[in-house]
Amino acid sequence: MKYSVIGLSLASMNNRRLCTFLCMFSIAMSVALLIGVQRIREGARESFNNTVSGTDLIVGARTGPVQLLLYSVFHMGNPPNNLSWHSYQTFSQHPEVAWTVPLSLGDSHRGFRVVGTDEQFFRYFRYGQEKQPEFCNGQRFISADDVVIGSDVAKKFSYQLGMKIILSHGISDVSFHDHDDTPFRVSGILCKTGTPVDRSLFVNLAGLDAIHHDMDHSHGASSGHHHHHHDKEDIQPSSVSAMLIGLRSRTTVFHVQREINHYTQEALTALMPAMTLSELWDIIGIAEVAMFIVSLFVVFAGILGMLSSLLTTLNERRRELAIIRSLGASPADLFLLLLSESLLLGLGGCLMGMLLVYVALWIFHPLAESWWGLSIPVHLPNMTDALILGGVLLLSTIAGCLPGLKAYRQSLSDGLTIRI
Amino acid sequence: MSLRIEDLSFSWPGQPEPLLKCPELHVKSGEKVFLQGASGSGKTTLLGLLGGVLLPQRGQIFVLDTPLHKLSAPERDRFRADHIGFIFQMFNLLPYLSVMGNVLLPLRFSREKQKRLQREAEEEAQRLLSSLGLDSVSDRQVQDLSVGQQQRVAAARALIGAPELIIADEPTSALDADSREAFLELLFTEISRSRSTLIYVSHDPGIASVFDRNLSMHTFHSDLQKDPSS
Repeated sequence: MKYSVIGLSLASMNNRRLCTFLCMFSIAMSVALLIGVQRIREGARESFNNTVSGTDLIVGARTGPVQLLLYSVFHMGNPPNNLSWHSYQTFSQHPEVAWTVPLSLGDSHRGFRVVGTDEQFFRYFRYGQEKQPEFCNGQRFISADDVVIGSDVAKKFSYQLGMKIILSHGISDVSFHDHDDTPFRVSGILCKTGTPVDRSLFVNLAGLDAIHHDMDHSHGASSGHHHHHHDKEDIQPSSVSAMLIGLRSRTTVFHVQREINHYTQEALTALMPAMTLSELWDIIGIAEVAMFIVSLFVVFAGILGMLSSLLTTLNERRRELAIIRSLGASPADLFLLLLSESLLLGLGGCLMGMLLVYVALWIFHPLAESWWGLSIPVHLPNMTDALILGGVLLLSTIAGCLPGLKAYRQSLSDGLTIRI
Repeated sequence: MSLRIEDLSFSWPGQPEPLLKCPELHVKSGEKVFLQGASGSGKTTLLGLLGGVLLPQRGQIFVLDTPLHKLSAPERDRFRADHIGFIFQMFNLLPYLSVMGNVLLPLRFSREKQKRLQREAEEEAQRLLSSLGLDSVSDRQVQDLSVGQQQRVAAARALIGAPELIIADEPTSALDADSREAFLELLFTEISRSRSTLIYVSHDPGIASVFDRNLSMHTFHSDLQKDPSS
């Protein structure tokens, strides 16, 4: 009996194929959107949390951890203070420390940040799942007037290996202190990483200090335009903006962090990147929550669409329902008939939606990776997906009660024949 | 006894006067009864009562000696599924099922009708269609059939599983005279075969002569002999 009701629903829906398909498709689109947004959220969060990996501590002058993370990793804002070269040296030689990378910020090139560092950066910096920035072209800087550029920088200005570019002091696009006389040569172009590395230029720390020396000289009236290239290599930086630290053993991280935070000779802050990254995500993650809420509303709209189309067809189907009733169906059977239709529409919509998600992932996964460096996770439906699908099914079942009730009441008043 | 009505009174909510009043009516098993009445005389309401979709305010209805007025709504639905076959005016068929699907439809709702089949369901449906002059239409869509053919499919659907009572509500009103007679002839042959009782409602007295017994809706407008409550 119940089986036969579902059989009739299927036949009736098949008869209204176009309407059925459109209903299912609108639910499918909304389900695909919701699950797609969910996947992108996962991917974005994942890639955000992996903006820097493999680094145990980031150290800078005393400031809030979020601010330190913002300027050292995301190159946003400015360091309030620098870290003295002396402190840098002290912690590089700390017995627990395996490696350190100096980062010196404060310069720019046509709106992109310039990072002064040393060859350690290319050896130890990691992002994502312990991935090393790779060179698509060329190699790391060797001489003080070499510059390595991120992929976005290369793409935006169509820079090629060997081109000479000018760096300037300060971070605005238009800088007063351009130095035509100290051009840097592009020695390497990094591949896309999906991190702020793409939007940065890397120069030898010594080279960066050379610009500053240059600038001082040209401000100092008469020393003139003599060539500094020969002495760039010799310059020792007096300070850096931040340093990345890798430890010999992760277990000592709290110990070393405390030691740095309590360092008496200079006020310093040491942060653990993973922790601060997720703190930061909680702040900026509101956008993704908004996206999620919007897609929830799209699901509601899809279900409402189905509901209105079911209610509309119900009037045209009065005769059909009266015939079924004359064959012995009870009003409750008619309720079930309509309910099972919305359930089937919901189910079909969910399946179709999942299909759409995987087709979209199949198409866009490689593109998102290469365009935005965003890795959208491709995995079998997980618990979240199951919850979403279950919720959509539940909603469509609840929505189906309405046409079901209407059919129930119609059948009570119509009886076996309809008076038209 | 196929149908027994006693002391029946039915009125729609808000009606001051009962629409149907019938002191007594007996219909024997296997009888073919013609019931004539103009539209508005309460035919549809009577069918609702016989089908167990409506309940009388007063009186008793026995169909196949079962007191319909004492059954619950689901029991009446079940009874209708198992023991009654309906043929309506027109547009009797579900447009989304094939001819065969429509004929087999009652079996989905009644195990009783399934049990009464003496052969495979499809075979029986095919036999009914053939004997009603519809040999090669079973896979066709119902929209492709003429109205006369559709009514014969509806008859086959009412007859499948040999229900004891067949109720026909103006089944020939959309047919011309020739096809009307052909339809009745085929219907009668099959009904005699299954020994079912037929109650045939129509406003058209022209066909009354072929029935065993003629009734008028006046039967349902006679005053009750005495009101037991007064």
